[in-house]
Amino acid sequence: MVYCNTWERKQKELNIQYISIFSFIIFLIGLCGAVLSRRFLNILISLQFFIISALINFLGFSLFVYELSYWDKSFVFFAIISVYLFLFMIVFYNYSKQTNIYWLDAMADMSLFKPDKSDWWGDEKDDSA
Amino acid sequence: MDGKLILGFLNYLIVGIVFLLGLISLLIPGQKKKLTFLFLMFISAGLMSFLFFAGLAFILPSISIVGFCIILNLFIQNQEFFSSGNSGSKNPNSHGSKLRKNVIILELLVAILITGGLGLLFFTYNDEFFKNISTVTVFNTATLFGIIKDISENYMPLIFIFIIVLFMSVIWFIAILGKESKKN
Repeated sequence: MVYCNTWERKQKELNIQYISIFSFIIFLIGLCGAVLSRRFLNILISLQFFIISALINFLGFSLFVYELSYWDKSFVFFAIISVYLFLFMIVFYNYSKQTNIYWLDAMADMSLFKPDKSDWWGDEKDDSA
Repeated sequence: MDGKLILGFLNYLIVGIVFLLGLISLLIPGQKKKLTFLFLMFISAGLMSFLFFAGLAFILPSISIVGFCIILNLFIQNQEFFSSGNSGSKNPNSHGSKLRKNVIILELLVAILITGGLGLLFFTYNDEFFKNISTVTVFNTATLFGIIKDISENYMPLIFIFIIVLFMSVIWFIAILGKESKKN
């Protein structure tokens, strides 16, 4: 299903300039927050500002300049997944350091099973008896 | 009411909501409240991307966003439960607190000046660009089928992101390994 919305330049219901300035303001607030605050959560929220600003800019320009493109959608699709997986990794690293999971699990043996010789050859019988 | 006007109003409204929720989550004291507003911002950003006609591109990435929210929530809950990492409960003397207040005001002023200057530069030098840009007369939504078809045909975005992810992972692991080797 394709929705079509006509766009009249004279009326200017949606203006790319307003959207771009708005996204830049969001980016500046994120920059201000990231520079000013030293707290972990504030810096993460500032990073969300960056991401949302980039998203608005990217989708806004792709919508207003190109007639119908799909590659930008797939780019946003993969970019958001990778960015949030990366953020997940950072937060998980901090969380694991905080809860000492890191030293218990991550630095130790990660294998679920630890096969040794007896798994392959069976229990060794004592022949001397 | 005209449909186009409603659509335009909705777009500005939802972008405004994203902006306000983000600002509240940044400024409000209390980590749990911050997290609540951050989650609301994520939801409104999802709505925004629907209105920017790429909602389908936002549904599947939201799985990773939810995972990120859960781990962040766990991290903050743990921090508050064991009261670790909070530096606000110190009791400094009056001279130190006055100096600290001055430093905060100075930092705020410098940040506002820098961001304001950047904003002014952006506004003045982009005005001509936006006058010359030719916008489309009709805009269409992307369908999920089209996106999937594009992913299978056009590998360039995927390769580009893959290279960036590899680069960032290398930097990240170098940072971690350096930190760990210093401790050991």
